[in-house]
Amino acid sequence: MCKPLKIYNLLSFFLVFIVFNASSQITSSPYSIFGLGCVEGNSIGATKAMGGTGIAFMSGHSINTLNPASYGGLDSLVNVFELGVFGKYTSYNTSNNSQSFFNANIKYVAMGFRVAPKLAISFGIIPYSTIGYNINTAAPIEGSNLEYLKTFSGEGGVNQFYLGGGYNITKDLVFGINAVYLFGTVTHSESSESLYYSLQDLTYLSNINLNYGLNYKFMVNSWKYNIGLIYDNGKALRTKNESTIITETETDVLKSHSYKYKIPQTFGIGLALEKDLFKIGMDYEMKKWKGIDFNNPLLETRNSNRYSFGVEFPSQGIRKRSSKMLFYRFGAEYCGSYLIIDKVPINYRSISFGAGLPVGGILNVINLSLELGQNGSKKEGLFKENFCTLHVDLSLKDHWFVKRKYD
Amino acid sequence: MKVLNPGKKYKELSILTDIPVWFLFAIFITTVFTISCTEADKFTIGDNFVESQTNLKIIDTFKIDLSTVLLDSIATSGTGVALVGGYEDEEFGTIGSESYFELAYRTFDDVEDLAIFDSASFVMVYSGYSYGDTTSLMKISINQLTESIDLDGNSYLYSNSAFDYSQVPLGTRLFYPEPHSSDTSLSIQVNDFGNKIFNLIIDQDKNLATSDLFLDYLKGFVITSGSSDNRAVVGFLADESHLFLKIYYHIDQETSSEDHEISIPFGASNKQFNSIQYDFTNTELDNIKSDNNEVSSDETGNKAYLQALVGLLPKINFPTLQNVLLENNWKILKAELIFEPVKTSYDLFPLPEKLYFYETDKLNRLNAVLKDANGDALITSFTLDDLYKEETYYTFDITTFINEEFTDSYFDYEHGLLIALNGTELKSTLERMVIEGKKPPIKLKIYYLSY
Repeated sequence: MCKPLKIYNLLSFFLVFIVFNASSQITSSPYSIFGLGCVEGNSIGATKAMGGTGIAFMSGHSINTLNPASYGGLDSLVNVFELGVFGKYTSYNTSNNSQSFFNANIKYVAMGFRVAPKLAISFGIIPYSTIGYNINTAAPIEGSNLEYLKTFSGEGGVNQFYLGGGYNITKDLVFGINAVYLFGTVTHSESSESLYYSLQDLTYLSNINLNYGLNYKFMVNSWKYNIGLIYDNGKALRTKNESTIITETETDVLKSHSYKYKIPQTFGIGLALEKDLFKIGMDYEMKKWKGIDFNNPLLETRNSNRYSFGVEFPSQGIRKRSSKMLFYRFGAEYCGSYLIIDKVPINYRSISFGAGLPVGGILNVINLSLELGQNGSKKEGLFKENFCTLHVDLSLKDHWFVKRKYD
Repeated sequence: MKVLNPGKKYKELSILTDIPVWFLFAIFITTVFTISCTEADKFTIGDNFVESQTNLKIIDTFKIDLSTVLLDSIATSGTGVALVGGYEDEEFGTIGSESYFELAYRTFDDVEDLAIFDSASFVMVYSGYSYGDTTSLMKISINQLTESIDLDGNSYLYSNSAFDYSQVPLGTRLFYPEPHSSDTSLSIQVNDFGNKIFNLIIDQDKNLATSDLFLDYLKGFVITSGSSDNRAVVGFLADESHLFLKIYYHIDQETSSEDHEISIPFGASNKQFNSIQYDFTNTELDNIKSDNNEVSSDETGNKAYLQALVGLLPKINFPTLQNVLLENNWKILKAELIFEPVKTSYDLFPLPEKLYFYETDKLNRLNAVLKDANGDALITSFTLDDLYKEETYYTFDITTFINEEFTDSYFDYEHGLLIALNGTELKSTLERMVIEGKKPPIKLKIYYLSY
């Protein structure tokens, strides 16, 4: 049971990690130039293979950060450590052009464990939104018929360092709360490599926010039903802006801008059905972006709506528990994002599938998932992104309070 | 229910749970995706989302004042090269160089009374440098000074330094110069003078007794252009192993004769210098001296002149550049000077390939050389169109100079630039060029970023 991880397995994992980390941007989408960038959603690990579904799922083999009430499912004897990386290939297609990009990075780190019979906690860092783009244009040089290569680039985003607890009010009802420290930087710059200048607009963002969750379970005809609810009141972010112009010999600080960034109010509801090791779930989540103005004439905001469902089933059939059992997962997701660009709504749709693979015992799991999807539209000179993302999430568990007997 | 063999079960699943397989798969996917990707600097999708906040323009309408400055003198001592000769240049008038030097003191072995003087010569070796038409017959003379070469408390001797010398040469030589044959020596016979020294040696004259007496007796020598018909200036190595006075004699034996020579080498290198003569009569530069040693290109046929040892340097000032200060939020990313030589000016004399710029002031002093960000002296880039002469021009990056001038938010008109050569070339060559001032004018091209 407690066989240590094989060294080569760990080595392989870190090699994958290094390869992924070689490319540094966490996202790559020209759409992330707008507002807070690409909103990532709180789905990590196992739920990634199920269309990001999990508001009603309890944490168990791996941590579910979609709902703080899910921590109530953490085992009292183990602590869970999770680390996720991803690699994403995207092709960007306008009505007459196609370009592609690969990016990869660490996605999240999280830990979870039970501290009291009725209280389990989790903490970690996961992205809220990410910005990453690199757009080259041929800019004219006034007073000549020459052009030069001008690059617009952006990076950064908002991260969440969360510390949350799930409290089992009764056997069937769990209340969860996350205290989230939101922090990050958003950098937009305009530069030329040949003439060596860069105009940089850097905004530091931070604030503390709370979000809440409930999970209630009941049995009907030997099926276990879970209903999950999440709520976030939203929060304006504190900002500090620095604008600089950098040339070959000088760096000048310019008048800073004042930007208003806000995390929107969020509601979500999920339903899950479970029988033995078979699980199915569905989510609906709404973020109230409408009315949040990012001061960009091309951009209108609307409330974002996310719908998803996901299924998980074991490899060896229900009732045949084994230390070598796999879990297969699949799901789908549709999200009408908060962006309306030039009157065109930007929508996200994807299907995903994957597996949870035990490594060196049932307690340690690698969750692999592949997500195939589309984002955006070719209308009005915009572009559609077709992407394929491989998530590799490692979930390690260790017994805290049990003496090892089999070493 | 059949119980599975645990060992077999492990084997079946090991492929799926074996990380290296997944790892290889991930590497494969990564590689395939990365290879098929658009290069980062070619990615253009999203260009309709961006809004420029910077605007770049080229401004080349700044007025530039161009003039020619005549430096008072250039330090020419100790260069190790004696420049001798003269020539005429349509653009620059007549130019000549005389070279002064001393011989070194040495003690002389006794020479038998029976020794018979044969001949004496100054022997010189070509340095490799020449300027002008070296295919013509040349005449040079060597004259003895009537006063000693005296530094007079200075560290250097200058292109305008001069010492009295006897107008009657000790010797004269007519020759076709071979400036590129470094193993060929040229000698100027000075038999009368040599015989006189030879007799002093035989007599163990008191003037040979000490260095002071010796130097005071000989004073020094100057190699002069022996004719106004010379067409070139030629360089000879002026150092103790290449320039000698040689006295040849023989001693008759019973059946044969034995040849001997006495060699007196070149002396103190800090007392060797080249004195430059020039005459601008009948050229555009005729009035430069009466004009306080500076003359605007407007008065010299829209040209500016550079000649190294003569000390003629083109000067530029930027009278309207402070106008950029009227705007807010700008940066000069690049400032470039572009100028052409006068098309008809380099048929006979080659153009210098590397020009250097020096800061200057109201007093036309040759101050610091312009350097790049790494502290290396900046050099012009040069394009030569030998055939049609249409595309011959120099460009020079003065970004650092312009930006430094603007750091105090004020551009001082008096801060100009002198166009010259590097220090060594300036004091040891006659490199010259004529800058075109009107068709086209010298241009300052500024890459101006506003934001």
